[in-house]
Amino acid sequence: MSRILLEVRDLHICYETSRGCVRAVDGVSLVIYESETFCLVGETGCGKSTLALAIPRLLPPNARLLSGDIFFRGMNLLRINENELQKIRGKEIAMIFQNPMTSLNPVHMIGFQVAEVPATHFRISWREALLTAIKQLGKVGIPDPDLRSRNYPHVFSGGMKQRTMIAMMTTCKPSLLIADEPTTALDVTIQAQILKLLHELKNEYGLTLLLITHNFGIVAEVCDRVGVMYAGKLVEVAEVREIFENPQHPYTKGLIGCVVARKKSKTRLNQIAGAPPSLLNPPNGCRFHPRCSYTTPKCLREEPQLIEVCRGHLVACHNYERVG
Amino acid sequence: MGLLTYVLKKFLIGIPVIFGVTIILFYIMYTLPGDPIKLLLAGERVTPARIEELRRAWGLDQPVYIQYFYWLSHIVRGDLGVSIVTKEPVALLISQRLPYTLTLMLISTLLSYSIGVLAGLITALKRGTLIDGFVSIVGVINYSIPGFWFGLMLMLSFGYYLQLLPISGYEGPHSLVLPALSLALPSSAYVMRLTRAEMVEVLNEDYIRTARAKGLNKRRVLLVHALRNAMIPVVVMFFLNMPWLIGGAVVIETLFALPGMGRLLYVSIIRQDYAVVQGIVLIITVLTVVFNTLGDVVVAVLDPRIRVERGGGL
Repeated sequence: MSRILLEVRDLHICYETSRGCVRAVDGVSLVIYESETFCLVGETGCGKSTLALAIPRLLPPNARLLSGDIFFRGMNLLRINENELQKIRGKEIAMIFQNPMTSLNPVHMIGFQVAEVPATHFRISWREALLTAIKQLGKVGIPDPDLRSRNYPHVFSGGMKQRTMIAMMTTCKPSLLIADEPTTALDVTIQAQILKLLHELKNEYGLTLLLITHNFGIVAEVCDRVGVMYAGKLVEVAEVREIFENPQHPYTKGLIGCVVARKKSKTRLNQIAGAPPSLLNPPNGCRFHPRCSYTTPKCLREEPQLIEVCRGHLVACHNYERVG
Repeated sequence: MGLLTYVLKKFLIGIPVIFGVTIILFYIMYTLPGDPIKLLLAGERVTPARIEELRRAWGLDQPVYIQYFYWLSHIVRGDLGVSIVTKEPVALLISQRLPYTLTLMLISTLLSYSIGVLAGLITALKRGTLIDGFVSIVGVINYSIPGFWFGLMLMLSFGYYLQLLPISGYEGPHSLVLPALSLALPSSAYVMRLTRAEMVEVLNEDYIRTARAKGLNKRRVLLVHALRNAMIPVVVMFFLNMPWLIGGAVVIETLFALPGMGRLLYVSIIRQDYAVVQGIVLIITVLTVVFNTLGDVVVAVLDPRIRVERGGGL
């Protein structure tokens, strides 16, 4: 196994709302190795986007970092000041967001928005930055990049906007690229193209990809390792083949069951009964116990910790032996 | 390239608007109660034949549409007619008064927008703090105070008690200080509230998060990415509000007895001096159309999406 690039230790983040503190990330620890593709999966509202945004510290103002550390190449991102952080953002750690339609500034030209990144991080002239931007736009598959760089975002399609975002965030060849559901807002054919592009860039630049998704199809296609989140907790981490062939957590098993069922026609779609719990007031013990078919009295009392069941495979479940 | 055609089209649209307004305006003046001839004679005892003669001389015996076309044919030649009261050419009367009003408008606009935008930005950036609360409350108070009352209070304090500035008439540029302040105050509060609301909204946009994710410093995020977007509605309001300011000038100029166009309009309405009122309202209409068009143009420059209809894609 290669070297550790990013390490998250016991991270707790909550959102302050009028109804109280929503514990979106509640004690997550996680390691990402250099030049791997790590997928974070889970239902909407399980805290995966919050975790992703916390890494470059781009959380909304009502989010509170309660405790924990995020080490990037040994540097604690949560302890450094804003100036140091600005040197890392876009250069070492770049991020692509869920909705390309609103992620580009409507009043600036495409080329300008991409060129800002190299112009900020390298000692080059604006002309050179613009040329870098045009080259990068061509690389991500924008036709006629020279001409298109003088377009405004509103004439671009969703797919082209997301390509622009990718161009913007890869001009500096970052070590870590965080993609927060980069294909959710796009239609299916474009989704595949964008994923292919990300995968190619990852291989070419040797960057590490942290991909946030709720789509197990994507996981199977591009990931090396997978982390499954449920209600603000990481419940299972394993290599991608291990997850599909030998899921140990009942929630992971349920999620994979949902995908597999799609392939058999005429049968009713599999589902996980119930809904994710409110993070304002999560259930005691194991947070999955109200929806779990393996629940024992211990699950209601005691919160399971992540334990290594075999090499590189971590599970947080009291009954994993019965599940697997 | 698309911008020039856009500008030209906007100006051409303004022409029929001006025509429409002249028709409505002329008809309203015509239907107003009162007889200008009687006002002209001011209680002088004359024979009915003499009244008829005067009526014919001023063209008031003609049907309204004839009077309108007669007036219009002079207007397009640059002749605004003659005041029925002072017998002076309307164009001369207006050209003497217009500079005062335009100066007053300019000063008060600069004042209200510099105060309003600055206060709006501060409150938006310091949202939820004591400064925000304090400035916002002052803003609400300013917004609730009518301009004429504030004018009176300014007269009382700076003119009467402190004797620093003149309260009535025009004695030089310093005579415009108090009127400009009383015009600027309520609108500065409005500008502040709009700027604050827009800035707060823009700062929550996804593209601001993108700008931060790129590693740009705070100042660049604010100036290059947030400000321009937030200022678009403020600029629109700047241009759309100009005509309203003339309305405000009528009250303030009358209050401070300034020899401006607003006061001339007030006096002329009281005297039923048709030609002067029509001339002034025509000027206001033209100014309104010009400012609206300028607003459209500036917004098109600031926001590329507005130009889309011209096929500005490529």
